[in-house]
Amino acid sequence: MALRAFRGRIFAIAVIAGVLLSGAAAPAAVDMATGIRYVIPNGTVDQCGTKAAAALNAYLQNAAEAAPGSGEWIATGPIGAAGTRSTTASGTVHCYPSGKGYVVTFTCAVQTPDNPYDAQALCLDIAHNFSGKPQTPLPTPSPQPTGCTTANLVGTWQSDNDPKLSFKMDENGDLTGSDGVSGNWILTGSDATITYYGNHSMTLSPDGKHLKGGGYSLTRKC
Amino acid sequence: VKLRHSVACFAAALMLLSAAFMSSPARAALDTVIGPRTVVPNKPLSDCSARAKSALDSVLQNAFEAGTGSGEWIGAERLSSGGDAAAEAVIECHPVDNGYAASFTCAAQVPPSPITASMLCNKLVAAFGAQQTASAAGAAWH
Repeated sequence: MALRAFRGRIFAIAVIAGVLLSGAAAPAAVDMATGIRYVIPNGTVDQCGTKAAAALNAYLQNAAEAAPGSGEWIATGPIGAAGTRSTTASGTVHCYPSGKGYVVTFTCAVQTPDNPYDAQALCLDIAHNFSGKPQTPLPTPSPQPTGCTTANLVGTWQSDNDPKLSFKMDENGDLTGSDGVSGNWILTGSDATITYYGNHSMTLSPDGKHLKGGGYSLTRKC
Repeated sequence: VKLRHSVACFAAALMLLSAAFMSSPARAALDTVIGPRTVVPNKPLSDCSARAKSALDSVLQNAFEAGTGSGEWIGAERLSSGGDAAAEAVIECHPVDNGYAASFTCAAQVPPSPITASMLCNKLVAAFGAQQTASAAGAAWH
């Protein structure tokens, strides 16, 4: 009985410790903006929809009406994003009939810091495209440096101690070990944390080629 | 000694197992949906605004009107006090005949948000009281 209770305590402690050790942070956030509204005295909801789709597709992609005839249009992005995992921005345009014309509103959401612009800037450009006003070009993300840069851990890393162990780290912060186990990496200055069977604190060398600490010693292929 | 050894092995295995399960990629993606529109007859726009604020406050937090009198209400869910938003939603109120239409737009970052944008919008529609008062939901304008 006592052994069973003891094992129960060990089980709880072990699970909590495992979760804490592996807690990978996702430091991104949702930024949402609304409030831009145009009142168009003459026009149909269909005309609004046509302009809504064009305005959304100028900055996002795959604009579609949420339900046929609803006047509610949605698109996601950025342009070129493939698959839901790459979606970091979205916009909606709502067309409401009003008298002989319509009212149109704009709502945008952006995931930060994956985008170098906020939801308000995206919505302003979509709205200005809709109304034919001048638009401010949205900033584009800086391309990730490649090679043995100290700016990131992107690349293939080989264990110095185990020839069978290597890691592929990508620009999204994802990591895949040669055993197929996936995890994450984070780099702040020269301090790195990799999540692979728990979190490991490591240090990146000044030449960006070596990563040591937390029980691992890795060399980047570059 | 044998007992200690077995307990230590048991604990180590459990830690490894739970760490392995939790070390899946935490790559967040933005999930956005437009929820079902709710049309409420014979009620003033102020009723929509009151319901929108109440629904956003109950499902998310800190609802506010995007511009005074705009009828566009926004709320956010923060996973920690003062932290970044993991989910946000907008409820727009628009006059229709003698009543109003309320539309729902929801965005969630999954993970860390425990619910999808669709689930969030469904919760908001329910909180808005759509089931009792809506005469039409998701209806076309023409």
